[in-house]
Amino acid sequence: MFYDDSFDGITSEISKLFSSKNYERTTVMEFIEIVDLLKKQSGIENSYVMSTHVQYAYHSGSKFLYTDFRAGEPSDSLNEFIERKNWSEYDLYISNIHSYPRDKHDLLKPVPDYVIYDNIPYDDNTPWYQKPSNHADVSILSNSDNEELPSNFEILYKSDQTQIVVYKIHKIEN
Amino acid sequence: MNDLKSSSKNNSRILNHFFQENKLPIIITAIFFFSMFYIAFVHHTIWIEQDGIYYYFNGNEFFDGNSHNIQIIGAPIGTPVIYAVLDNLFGMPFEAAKSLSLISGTVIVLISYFITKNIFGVKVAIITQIIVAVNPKLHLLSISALNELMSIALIISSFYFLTKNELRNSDFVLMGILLGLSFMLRYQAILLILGIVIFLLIRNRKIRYNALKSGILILVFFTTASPILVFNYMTYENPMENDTSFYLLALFQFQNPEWRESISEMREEGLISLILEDPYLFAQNYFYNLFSHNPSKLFNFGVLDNLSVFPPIPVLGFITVVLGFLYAIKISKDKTTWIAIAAFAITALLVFFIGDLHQHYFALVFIPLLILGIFSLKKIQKNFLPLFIVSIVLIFSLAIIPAYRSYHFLFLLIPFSILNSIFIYEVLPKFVYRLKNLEKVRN
Repeated sequence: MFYDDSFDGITSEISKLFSSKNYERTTVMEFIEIVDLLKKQSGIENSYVMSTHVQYAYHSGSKFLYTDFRAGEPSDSLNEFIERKNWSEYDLYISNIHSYPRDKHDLLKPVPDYVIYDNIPYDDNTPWYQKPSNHADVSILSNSDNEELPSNFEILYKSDQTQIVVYKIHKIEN
Repeated sequence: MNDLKSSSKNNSRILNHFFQENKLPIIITAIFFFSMFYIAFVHHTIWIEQDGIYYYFNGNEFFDGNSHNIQIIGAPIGTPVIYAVLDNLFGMPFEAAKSLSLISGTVIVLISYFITKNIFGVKVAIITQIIVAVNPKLHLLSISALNELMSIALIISSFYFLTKNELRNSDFVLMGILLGLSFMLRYQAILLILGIVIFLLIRNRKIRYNALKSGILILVFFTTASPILVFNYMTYENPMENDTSFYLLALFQFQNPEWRESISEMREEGLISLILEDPYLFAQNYFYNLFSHNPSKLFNFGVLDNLSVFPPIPVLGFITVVLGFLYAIKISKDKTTWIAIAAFAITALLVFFIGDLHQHYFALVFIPLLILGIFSLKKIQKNFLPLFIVSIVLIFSLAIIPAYRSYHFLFLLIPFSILNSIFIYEVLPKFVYRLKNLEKVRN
């Protein structure tokens, strides 16, 4: 997903192979930008990044909270979703065993400090099971201008090309 | 001192002899190594392989004393530990993981020559090695920081000993060690043990002798794999710790809400309990995997991600393998042909009346070929037989899960590449010769 997958013909592919790494505006470029942005955040090593892709956390040195953005109840607010309040036991388990630090027994109950949302549509050719759509609707995350976004979601990065959006999550004072 | 000198002279003489004897396979291996090295270290510069990072993090958790919080999926703790150790030593986990893949890929290319040479001699061996060396999936894995190739390289290395003309006790010991090491990285190696034991028990009538060899193999295998078995038992109270339910839930084509709910609560249960939860649904998935999904990943019946020798061209790679197979079993017009035809007729009836052509189409060809193979066991070259049996065992056992990546079958690359080489070296020239003769007769 991060390398540019376009195929531009055999001759072009061969010349690309021997050209210097001069990335144009590709997904890998955006990936590097997001990682650099995260690295600059203070206390990133103790922060949780919620995403589908662990690569952001690995390269930025943060902790990781896995989600496929298809969990929770349809009535969940965004804050309820990221706090994993109404996730099924199985969705929580899958999130915990893929997060870092690992949390098989659900002891840590982390809340993310950053959310990286990239709404990748299901691929019809994938053999992976496609969950039914009765989960929380978080598609609003792709629209950072939407007024319905909670006030504690601060936008840090948005790509017009790949629709990846990065939010910093501010703690809500009780 | 003199002894040391003469022994080092002896070693260099052996090495020189080895290089002189095997120039071409070494050159092919070197070309593979340097090409993959260039891609891996000049172009693939960012660790993007999710699974590789997943296992690396598991290794960190192991050394942080947090193993009880890991849920092992797909592979035991072997590779994660190696990744974490190499990270501690060199501080470059991505480069270390890629290097392991590159070395493993190179070993596979080199050893593929010697395996085939054991069976069919130098010429077929060279063709096989070239077919293996140009396989795109092997390229992909050789440049990737993934927990795949090391275990496959160990399995394929065991094929070298398995295909020797005379199997000595030392060969069984070495096979046991290689497969035991592979098991510590991926559990699949145990299926190879099953295949080899089946081969030993049916190869001739010396049951006691073969049982003894099986015993040696199994004993060495479990002794080598014991660190993982003991670790799993002490940490998870299960020597073969793995969340099998994860793959069933994530990958099974046919599911229903009740079954999903039950299976998601059966994480600690073994495969048998998972099967018994709904045997009919399991059978439906199993036969779909066996006769449709997995074969497509092997030969491209409409899936671009495949292991075929001609990956972009559907079916063609299957035809060459079948023709190579028919040559290897020395097919002739005798009663086995009629048995195969009968098997085809019965399979066709079963598929049309009980099964579903869309889901079970591969059975129409696979079952008759299998029957043909079984009835021709005596005609198959003695040291090719173990590869044939092991492949069949793998095809049947791996159908428990739909393979979501074709490289999960990569250890079958060796037997399939050998069959492709037989096609190129033996079948194709005869076919061309007959065509030319036909033309001459017409003219």
